[in-house]
Amino acid sequence: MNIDINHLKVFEVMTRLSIDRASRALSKTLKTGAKIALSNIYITDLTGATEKMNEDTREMAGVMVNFHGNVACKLLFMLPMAGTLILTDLFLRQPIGTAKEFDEASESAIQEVGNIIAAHICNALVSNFDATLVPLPPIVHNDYAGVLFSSLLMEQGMNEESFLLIDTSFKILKTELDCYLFLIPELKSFEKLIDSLGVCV
Amino acid sequence: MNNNLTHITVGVGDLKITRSPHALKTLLGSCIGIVLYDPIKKIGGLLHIMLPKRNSDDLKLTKYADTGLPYFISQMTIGAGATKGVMYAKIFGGAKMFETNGKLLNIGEANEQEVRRILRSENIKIVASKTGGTKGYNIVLDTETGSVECRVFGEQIAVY
Amino acid sequence: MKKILVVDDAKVVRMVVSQILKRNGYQVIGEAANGREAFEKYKALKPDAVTMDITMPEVDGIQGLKDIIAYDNQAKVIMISALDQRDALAEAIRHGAADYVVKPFEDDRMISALHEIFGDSTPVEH
Repeated sequence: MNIDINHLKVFEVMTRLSIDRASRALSKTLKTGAKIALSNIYITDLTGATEKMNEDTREMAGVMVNFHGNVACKLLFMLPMAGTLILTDLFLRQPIGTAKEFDEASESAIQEVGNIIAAHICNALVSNFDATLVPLPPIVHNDYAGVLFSSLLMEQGMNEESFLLIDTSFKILKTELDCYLFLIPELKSFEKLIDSLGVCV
Repeated sequence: MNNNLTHITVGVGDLKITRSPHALKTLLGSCIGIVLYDPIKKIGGLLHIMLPKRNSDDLKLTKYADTGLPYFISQMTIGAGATKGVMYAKIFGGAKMFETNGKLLNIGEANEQEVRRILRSENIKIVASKTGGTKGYNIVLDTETGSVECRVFGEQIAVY
Repeated sequence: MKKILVVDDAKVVRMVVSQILKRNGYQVIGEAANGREAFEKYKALKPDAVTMDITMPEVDGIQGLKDIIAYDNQAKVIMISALDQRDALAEAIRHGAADYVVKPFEDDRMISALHEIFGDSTPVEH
């Protein structure tokens, strides 16, 4: 995979703006600070990326979102099963510890987090960079962290040797929630979008 | 499972071969994890295949059952010194997994069929298997005993 | 008391929206999780207004809105979506949405939208 360094720089700016907007939206939704920060954008191959994540055998609730538009991207947000209960309490504005078991409400809490993050990433790309992009309905799936991660990568990388992975640090203030948020953009479509902006020489 | 073993993790489309006292572990969704074990020399390997057949020019042989398994067998025997005649296989995984479009990715079954076909043609006996379903597998091979600890998500640990 | 049908695929959102509506003197007459269910419940329950999400599985909120407006051109449907995009807004308005509220929203914003469509001059409580 060859990526022009200038394209990568613009792409990094796009990513930061998008996840900033998603952070703000999520903070407002949960009425507490949700801090999503870009930790790494890197090219990886399936084996290397999954070897690391296959170390994580924790049971997670994950939400995967696919996007539809002139750029292609996939998103995975996941957190340990117990964390979904805290998320449910934050959503319903009730004291933490109220939700006791993973049920339809907690499943929908993580589903809605996926929707909010994905939609606001789209909103930023549409308003700032003239993309046309909307999220498709989120899919919630519970499994081992490594399995959820591999599933996302395999959809994108089934026939590709390497791909671009965006890794973030994701914290929700006043909680011990340990979340993962990964984005896998389809690079060719983003390169076209960046070219159309005329910001790369 | 012996807790003093050093655990080595295997990624998607990867192959690792080791000897006692090491353990090989991986997580599986629609992929198949194939364990080959020589109980005399205590050599064990774990191949994590992703698709049944290789694409025309992908150099990563171990991603595919049809190229990965023959390579695995030769690495076990010629590479690591295992004896093919005593070697046995155990297979895990091949679940139907949800995709981001909400559909079930049903590649697991095709993966399993291809793995079984190749092992049969190579005269390697499958002595244990746990496949299918819609949830992930967490497997650990103990190279001291050849036993595989397998836990399907949401279920109890079972030893094969 | 005005009767509202709450439509969103996420149960927590239906719960939060319902809580806000009840606190502000509205009756939640039913809930639906996609556009098809929304249309069926609209016909059966005859609500005074609908709050409608857009991104939903099977039948989305825009199709739900179109079906409801085709059935009752006086229907009052407020779109509530995380999509803050000109095209989404234009499409909703073109198909007859009475208002468009972007998620996440303050409680007042949704209640003001309802007051507006019912011609209610009662100020929103803070």
